[in-house]
Amino acid sequence: MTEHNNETTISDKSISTLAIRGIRDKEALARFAGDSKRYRHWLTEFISHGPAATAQVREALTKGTQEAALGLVHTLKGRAGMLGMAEIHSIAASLELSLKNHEPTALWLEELERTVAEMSQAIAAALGCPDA
Amino acid sequence: MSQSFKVYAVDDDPLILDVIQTILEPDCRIKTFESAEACWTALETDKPDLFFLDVNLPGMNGFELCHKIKEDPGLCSTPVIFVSGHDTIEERIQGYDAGGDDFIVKPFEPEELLRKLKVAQNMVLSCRLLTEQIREAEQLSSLVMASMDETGILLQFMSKLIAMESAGEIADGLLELLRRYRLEGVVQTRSSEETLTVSAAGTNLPLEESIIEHVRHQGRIFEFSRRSVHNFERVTLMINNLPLEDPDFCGRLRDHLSVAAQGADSRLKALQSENGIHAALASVGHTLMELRDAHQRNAADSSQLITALQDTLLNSFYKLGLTDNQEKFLQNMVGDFMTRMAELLNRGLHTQETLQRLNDRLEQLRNC
Repeated sequence: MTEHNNETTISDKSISTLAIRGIRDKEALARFAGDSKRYRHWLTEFISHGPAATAQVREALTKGTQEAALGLVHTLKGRAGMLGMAEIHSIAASLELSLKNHEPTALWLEELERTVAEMSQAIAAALGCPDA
Repeated sequence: MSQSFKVYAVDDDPLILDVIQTILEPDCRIKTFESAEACWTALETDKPDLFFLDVNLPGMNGFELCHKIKEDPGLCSTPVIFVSGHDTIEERIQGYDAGGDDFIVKPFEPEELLRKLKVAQNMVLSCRLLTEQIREAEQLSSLVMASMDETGILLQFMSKLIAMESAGEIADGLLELLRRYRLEGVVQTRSSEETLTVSAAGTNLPLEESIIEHVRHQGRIFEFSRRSVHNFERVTLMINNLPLEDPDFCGRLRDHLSVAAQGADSRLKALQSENGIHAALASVGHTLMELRDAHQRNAADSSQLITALQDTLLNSFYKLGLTDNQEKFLQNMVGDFMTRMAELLNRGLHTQETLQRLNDRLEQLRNC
């Protein structure tokens, strides 16, 4: 455990330099036991996964497959929460609730798409990814 | 405990599984699955100590998997912790109804997950200890029952032994005792009248007699390979098939067989004493009857002698030419002596009757 603590201190420093708005990085990094490499891997993955997930949600809603949309939103919510993306987690939770209650979802979906896209760009910029 | 404690985590999002693995890895062995079906398949060959199950899974969901786990006799005691994105009372109740033990909400803090793991580890450890204690208690109770059964066999033998009337009966009783203990062996009883060697194979077999003759002087308890010998003054028990694979049973047998052999030895000694007393009683009775007969003969001889004396005296009066007074004097004197002799003979009859009564009483004692 000592090794992990040491690693956390070093990684915290390197991650904090990312300064991505909307990410509680210390909280998230702790979930990866301070392993910044691992954390960066999942952040990088989110650059493509996040927008792809919202696109799949829209497609499912267009097709009228509510259950599929609900599953996708739920997964996105969980992933965003674990990565410290509190805002996306909150919006996804609202969209999930609307879907469950059969309420209009358009506004929440748009909000989610926008926030996810912004987050993807912010991560790509912070990590210096060319495909951002 | 940590390295032997096995955890299965199921979630359709590899990121969540990665997080769970990262947090728990230092404290347990963890296996991750992206579907309930994959986890269920793995359970056919391996069993964990704890499950972390996501609720919303494609295909079989976490609640359904939990139901299956709790219905499986080999898994039902394994704790299940649900990992859910919904912190609602409905979801918690569903988890409870499915047989879950705990609930954790995503996104969780590492400390929370670790705390749940520790609680589950303690629970499993307590459960294992309890299971071990139950197993030990069951083992002890079956041991006590077996021991009571063995003691019961010995008690039955001892109660029958009291009523046994001959060395042959005692030897057969000991053989039966061995048979009930699932033992094979040879029994020898020794008394002043005879030495009897019996086994399931027969009576007084020369080879068995020679072996017993050899081992009977080897001390009170003598053991060699699977054999054990119990020696007493009048009894030798030799076991041929000691159950060495069960040392506890062997120990108990050693005690039981010693008690049985000692009891048999005491009974043989008592029988020997009883026989001696019976013989003595018969001898005393016989002597009494001889005494009575001799007394009878003496009385008859004395009576004849007196009568002969009287006849001889009366005949002599004519030859001696005695006066009337002299004859009368002599007749009175002899008559007086004869009366006293008759009294003495009557007393002798009394003695004979007493001797007869004594003999009758001895006869009664012999028949007791």
